[in-house]
Amino acid sequence: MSRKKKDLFEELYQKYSNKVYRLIYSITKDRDISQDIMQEVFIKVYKNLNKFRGESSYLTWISRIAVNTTYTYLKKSKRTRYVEIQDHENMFSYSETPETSLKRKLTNDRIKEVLKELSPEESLLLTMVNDEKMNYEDISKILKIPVGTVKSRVFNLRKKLRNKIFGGEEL
Amino acid sequence: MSCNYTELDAQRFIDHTMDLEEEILYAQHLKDCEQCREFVEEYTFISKIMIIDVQPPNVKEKVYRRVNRARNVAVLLVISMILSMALMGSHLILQYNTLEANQILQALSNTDNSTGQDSNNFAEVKVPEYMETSYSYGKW
Repeated sequence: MSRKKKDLFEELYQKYSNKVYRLIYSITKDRDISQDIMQEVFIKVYKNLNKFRGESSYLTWISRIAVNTTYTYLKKSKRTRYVEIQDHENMFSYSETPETSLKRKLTNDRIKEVLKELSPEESLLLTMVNDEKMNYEDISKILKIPVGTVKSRVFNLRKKLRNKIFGGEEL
Repeated sequence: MSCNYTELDAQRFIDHTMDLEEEILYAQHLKDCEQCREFVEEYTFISKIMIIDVQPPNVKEKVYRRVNRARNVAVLLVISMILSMALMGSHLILQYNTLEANQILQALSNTDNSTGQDSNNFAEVKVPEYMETSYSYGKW
């Protein structure tokens, strides 16, 4: 391994491994599978570091590899739904204000149910927007869809969540 | 009270994707419109739901091991290719030498022993260039 390449890889791993893992996990909802996929992703990153052309940020590039590798894995293993339903008690959190604290008491169980029902695509989108605070342009590059489509999907997803959590819509 | 703002505007407000003037106007509007306040509050809440709060495993060492293993396999493949090519080369040389030796032996066996004269078959033997010295057969 060349020193320079290894240093760059170390830096990228340090910076983005958490984000990459969360993206993968948001789709698979399985720790072991996510770990295997994460390994594959970083092997691809290492092998293709020389081919990175700098047309996007490293995060966008690595996220794209992560999303593609995960979907390929799911396709190969014919998994369309989550294999492991996590205890959602530890799966979501939010910073609380007095208002949200009140709402939390009312909607905690509801949120758990709603999150369980998210499709892998919706879960990924929500993770990118909420957890990773990615902008629409980056999401558009990662998912290879137009920015307008990302915006409308985010809008529709939030609306769906709002209706289900606050509107009492059937799950 | 009805207003011209929609849920999309509430989302744009919390995303800060409105331009400054629009954002100021919307903020003023929020003071008067309960419906929009509710939208903003609920969408703010939704935008704070963190779907995943898990620590990732460390796979860095595994990645290094896999990359090194792949490299070692590639090096071994190259070495074995070089060796097999060398082996094939030496086999060809050996085959060529055997062919030459057979031709010479064949020519010798065609010599008529009863008369002591050869049957001139040596003339048909192709002598390798490196054997064509000044004292080789035919130039004596």
